[in-house]
Amino acid sequence: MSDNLSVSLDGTRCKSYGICVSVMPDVFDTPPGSPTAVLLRDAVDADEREDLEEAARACPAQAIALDSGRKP
Amino acid sequence: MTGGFERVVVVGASAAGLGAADGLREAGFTGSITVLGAELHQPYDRPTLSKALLVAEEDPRLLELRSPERIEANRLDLRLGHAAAGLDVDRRYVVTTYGEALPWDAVVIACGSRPRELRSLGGEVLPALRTPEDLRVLREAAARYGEMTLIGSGFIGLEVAAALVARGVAVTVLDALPLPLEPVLGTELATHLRDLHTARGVRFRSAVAMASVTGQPGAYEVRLTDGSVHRTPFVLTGIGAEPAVDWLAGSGIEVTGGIVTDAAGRTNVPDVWAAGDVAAFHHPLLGQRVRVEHWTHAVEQGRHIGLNIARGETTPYQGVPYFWTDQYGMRFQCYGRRRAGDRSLVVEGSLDAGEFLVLFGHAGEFHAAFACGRVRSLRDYRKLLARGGTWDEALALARTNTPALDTTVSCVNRKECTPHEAA
Ligand SMILES: Cc1cc2nc3c(=O)[nH]c(=O)nc-3n(C[C@H](O)[C@H](O)[C@H](O)COP(=O)(O)OP(=O)(O)OC[C@H]3O[C@@H](n4cnc5c(N)ncnc54)[C@H](O)[C@@H]3O)c2cc1C
Ligand code: SF4
Repeated sequence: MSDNLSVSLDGTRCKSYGICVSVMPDVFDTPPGSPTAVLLRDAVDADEREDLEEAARACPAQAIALDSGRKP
Repeated sequence: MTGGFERVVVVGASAAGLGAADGLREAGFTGSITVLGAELHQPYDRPTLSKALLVAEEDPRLLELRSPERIEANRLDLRLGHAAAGLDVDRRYVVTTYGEALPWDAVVIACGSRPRELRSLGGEVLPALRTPEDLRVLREAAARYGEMTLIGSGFIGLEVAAALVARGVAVTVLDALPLPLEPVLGTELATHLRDLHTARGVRFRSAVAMASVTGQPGAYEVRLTDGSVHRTPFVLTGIGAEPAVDWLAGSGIEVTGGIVTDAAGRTNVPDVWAAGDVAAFHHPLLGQRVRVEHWTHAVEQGRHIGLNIARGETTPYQGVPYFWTDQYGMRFQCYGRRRAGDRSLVVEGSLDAGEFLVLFGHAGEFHAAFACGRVRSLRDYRKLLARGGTWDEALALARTNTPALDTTVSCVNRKECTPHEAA
């Protein structure tokens, strides 16, 4: 029912400092040994949009992109 | 936006200042944005200075905050090395150290804070950690002496201790407080944190104040108020930060423990706003004037003010204060603010297990949630804090995760803080 929002992470930019993980721990993770953060899922509910936008703003490397395109 | 509103000057090119510039563009502001930055570095991520960049074996590389493309796309006139030297609120100019007089229709003051100074008796300003230059001095000292003393056990001091111990440096921490960060964390958590450090070799001289420091790099003597003398080759101070407001002296901007603003971010002078570490603003959730010295707060409050300016609004900023700190590979996170006299209750995990979630509150009020791990749950408490939820609501939430939680037993004075399970 709800509009989904897709999120992507640019592995060439990400420095794995994990600020995104602090803001949205159920979307981002920094596994030990991984050079970049990883996405635990790439779609989030519309009601999580604000948090996701905050994570994107907080990322010092600007590695997080949101695609607001509505999906059925 | 009102006509003729075309020039914004932002003072400070870090989290809050760039956040404000982004907010302005996000809300459709099309005029000019001049961002003054006292430092010559491209804007960089400050929190990593006491974390990854201090631990790094190789030469540390600053993490840039904005790509050049993004700065260009947002049409920011970023003037690095140009500091604001004065603010003329009558003729509406910001004067810079280059002698420029920049006219403005609005100003965002986002010049942050600087370490509180401690001098040796010989007049030397003792090193602290705020900038990449400070980081270089600290890294060189760590490599040269293999041993150092930290004065003050705040977050930065403890992160530095953790990072240096990982590099094999012998670290002593001096503090007048009996336990590190006790006012922020309460006795139990502060004890826990202290124990994490002592277990890894950090030595604490707590509950004794420092009287004076003499000597020079290589050989310092720190005199304590109990009459003892502590010898150390290097001293790093971490005794708090002060708003960087010298340049505003005589400007007419009200400064009382920070630049005083309302909840929307406005100072006492029309069209002059302040955000980030430098601002002492009225926080609706906390019901008092506070200075929040945390990274994501600076980003969010800066953006909020940018939006307000561009939209001609005065919406209050009421983000829940948040900070994280990394020590020994563990990440601690806190939403809200503990207050003196709060009870604490471990509602998930246990301190001994190294994974836990603790709630703070008093008299029916819910004030803060502090966790190591347990990040998923933390988010729900954050939402509760954001809407001013009560202690009972916090407990109800806790019971959804730990149904058998006994909430009558506070963590205070208990040796082991584990969620108390009935039967
Ligand atoms: C070592 C360290 C570790 C930290 N770790 C954490 C952490 O883990 N988590 C957390 O939440 N917070 C942390 N913080 C706090 C966080 O970095 C600050 O809250 C944040 O940087 C505040 O952002 P700001 O933009 O308000 O100010 P600042 O980052 O201080 O930026 C202000 C900028 O303005 C410039 N400036 C000053 N005066 C002038 C002038 N007159 N004209 C032009 N420019 C000027 C300064 O040079 C500076 O670049 C840490 C801070 C330090 C020092
Ligand atoms: S905040 Fe940005 S750089 Fe840091 S881990 Fe997340 S995506 Fe990577």
